[in-house]
Amino acid sequence: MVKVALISCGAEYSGVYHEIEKAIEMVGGEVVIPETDLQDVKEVDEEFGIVVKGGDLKLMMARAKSVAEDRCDADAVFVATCFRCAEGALVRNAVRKYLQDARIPVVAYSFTERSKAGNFLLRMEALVNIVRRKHLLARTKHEGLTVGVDSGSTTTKAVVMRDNEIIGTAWRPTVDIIETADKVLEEALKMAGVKLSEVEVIGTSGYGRFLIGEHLKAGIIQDEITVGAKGATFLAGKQKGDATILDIGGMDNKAITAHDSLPDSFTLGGICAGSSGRFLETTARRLGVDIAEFGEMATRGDYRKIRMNSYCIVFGMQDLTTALAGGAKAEDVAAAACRSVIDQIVEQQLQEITLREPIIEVGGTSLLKGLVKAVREALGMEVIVPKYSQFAVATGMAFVASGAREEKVYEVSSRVA
Amino acid sequence: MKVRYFVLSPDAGINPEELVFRIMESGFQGIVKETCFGAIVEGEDEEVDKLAEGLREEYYYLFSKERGYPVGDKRICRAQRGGGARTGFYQIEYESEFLPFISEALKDLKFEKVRSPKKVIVHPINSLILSDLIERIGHKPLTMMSEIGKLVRDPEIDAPPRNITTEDVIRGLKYGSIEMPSGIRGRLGVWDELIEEAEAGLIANYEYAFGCAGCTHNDVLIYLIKAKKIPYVWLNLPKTPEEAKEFVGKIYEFLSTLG
Repeated sequence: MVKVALISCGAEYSGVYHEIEKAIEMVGGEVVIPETDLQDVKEVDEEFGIVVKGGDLKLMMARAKSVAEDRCDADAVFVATCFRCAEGALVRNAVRKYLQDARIPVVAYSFTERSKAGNFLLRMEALVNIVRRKHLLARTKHEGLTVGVDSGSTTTKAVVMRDNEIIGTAWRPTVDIIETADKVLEEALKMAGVKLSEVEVIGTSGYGRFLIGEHLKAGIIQDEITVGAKGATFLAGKQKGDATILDIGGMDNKAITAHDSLPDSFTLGGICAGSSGRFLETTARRLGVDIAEFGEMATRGDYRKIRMNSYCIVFGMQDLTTALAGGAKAEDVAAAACRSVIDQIVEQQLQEITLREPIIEVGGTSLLKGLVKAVREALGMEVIVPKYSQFAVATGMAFVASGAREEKVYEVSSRVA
Repeated sequence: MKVRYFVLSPDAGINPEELVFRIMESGFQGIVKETCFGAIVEGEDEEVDKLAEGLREEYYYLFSKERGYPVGDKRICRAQRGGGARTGFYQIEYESEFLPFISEALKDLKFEKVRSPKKVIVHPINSLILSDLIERIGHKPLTMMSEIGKLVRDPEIDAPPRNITTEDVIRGLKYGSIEMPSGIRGRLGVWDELIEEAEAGLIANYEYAFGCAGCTHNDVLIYLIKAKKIPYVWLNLPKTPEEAKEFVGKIYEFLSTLG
C-alpha cells in the first residue's frame, strides 16, 4: 500500500479532512501522519525562513521535515491548506518546495469547505501511481503492440504503437464517450493496418478512462497526469533529465515536473474556462475564424495593444469585444486572448511547482502557434512542441501499456471506478 | 459523560503510574488511562469533576482540563489514524513547559472559592493553564473541548476526526465574509455558542497554540471578547517564577471580582 503523508492546516476545521482521507483510501493509499515533536516545531522558523503565527502551520513544516529526514515512513505527501489564507499559501508553497528538493512526490492543494473527495481524486490517483507504477513509468523503450486511448473532456484520441514507433493515430470531438472511443480506436487501428485481436494491451486514460476502460476491456487504466508526462517526454526525446510538461486542456490545465520522465510534482488547474482552451475557442468564434487559423493569426498580433481587465471568460470576452468595437485588429485580439490564458496559469497555478527547462507543451492547444509563442514569452523559457503533441496522453498510455503486457495492473483503478 | 486530562507538571514529585494508582485508590468508577503526561479519565460528569477537585487540592502540581473525545477514540488514535500525534498533543506539550512555574506560584496561594460562578471564555480556546485556574476558583471555563465533545459524541454526524461539517463552517460567516479561510470559519462556527454565553474572558499571549487554537487567524477571538464588552484580563505567559506569581495573582484578582 502506498503511504501518503497528509500534511494540512485547517482541513479538520473546514469539514474536509475525511474527504481527503477518503480520496487517499479510494486510490489504494494509506494515510500517514508524520511524527514530530515540539522542539522540531520551534526550529522551523529558522529551517524554513518563514515566520507565521499559527501553530498548525508551524506543525506542517515540522511534519514535512520529519518526512524529508526519513523519520516517517511515507512514499508521497499531500499538502493542503485553506483557500484564501495568505500565510497558509506561503507555508504550503515552502513545504511543497522543501519536499520536492528532497525528491519526495508531493502535490499541494488549497481547499474550501465545499471540497469533496472527487476534487482530490485525480490528484491522489496520480500521486499514488507515481509511486506504485514507477517501474512502468521508468521504462524507456516501448515493446510489443499496444493502444492508448485518451478520453478527454473535449476530444478523444487513440494511438497505436508497435515497438517504440507510433503507427496509427486518430482523434474526434468527444460526444458520446463510448461511441467516440470506439470510433477513434477503429480509425487508429485502420491507419496502423492492424486488427484489434492483434493488440496485446489496450490502456485507457483521461476523464472517461474508467467507462471506456471497462468497455474496451483495458489491461491498464491510468490517470492522465502520469501517462501524459511519460508521453510528452517520449515524444520530445527528453526521457532523461529534467522537464516540465504543460498541457492546457479544454477543461483544466496540467503542469507536471519530471526527472528521467518520472513525474515528481504536478499541479492541476481548477475548472476555469478563462484559463483553458475553451476561452480560445470562444474568441476564435467571435473573430469568425477556425481554431487553427486563430493560432496562426495570434502569432502576427501584439497582445500589448489590447487592454484586458479580467481573465474570466465572460468579462475577458467583454474586453476583447470592446477592443474590436474600438477598431482593434483581429490579430492583436487573438494574441491578447493567448496571453491572457497563459498569464492566468502563471498567476494562479504555476507557483505550485518549480518549473524546470525544457517546457514540453502538449495537448490540442499546443498546435496553436500563437499560444506557444505566448507561453514562451510569458515564461522566458525554452518551449518544445513535439510531433504528435496533441496525442501525448494517448501515446503515454500506449507506452505504459507496454509494461502491462507482463503484469495485471488493474487493481488500483478498479477501486477508483 | 465527561472526559478529562490530568497533566502533571514535569517536576512533579509523582509519575503518571503513581497518579493512576492514586485515582484508582480514590474509588473512581470510570475509565482511567495512563499517558506520558499524566492520565485521561472518563466517567459520569459529577464523578469526574469531583475527582478533579479532590486531586487539585491534594497536588498543586497537577492540572486538568476537559477533553472532547472519549478515551481510546479511534478517530484520534495514533495506531488507527496514521501514527503521528494529533495537533492537540502539542498544545499540552507546550503548556507543560510552564507548569513548574505555575505550580510553584499556586503552592502557597490562598484564595476563596467564588459564590456565584460565571462563565469565563479563554484565549487560547483550548488552554490547559487558563481553564484549570478558572476551575480552581469555582468559575466555569468555556473551552473548545466541551464543544468538540458535543460534536464527536453525536451519532448523527460522521465527519471524522472532529465532526465539524460544512454547516459549522457556514455558521462561521456570522463573524466575517467568505473571504475568511474555511478553517477559521469552522472554528468560529463552533465557538459561536461559547462567545454567546461568555460573561468574562481570560486572554493570554501564547507563543504557540495548536489544534482548536492552531489557526494563524486565531486571534480574532480576542477581538470578539473585546467587542462583547465583557470584563476581561490580558496577560503574558510567565517566563520566570516571579512572573508566574504575578500571572496567577492577576488572574485570581480578576476572577475574584466576578463572583
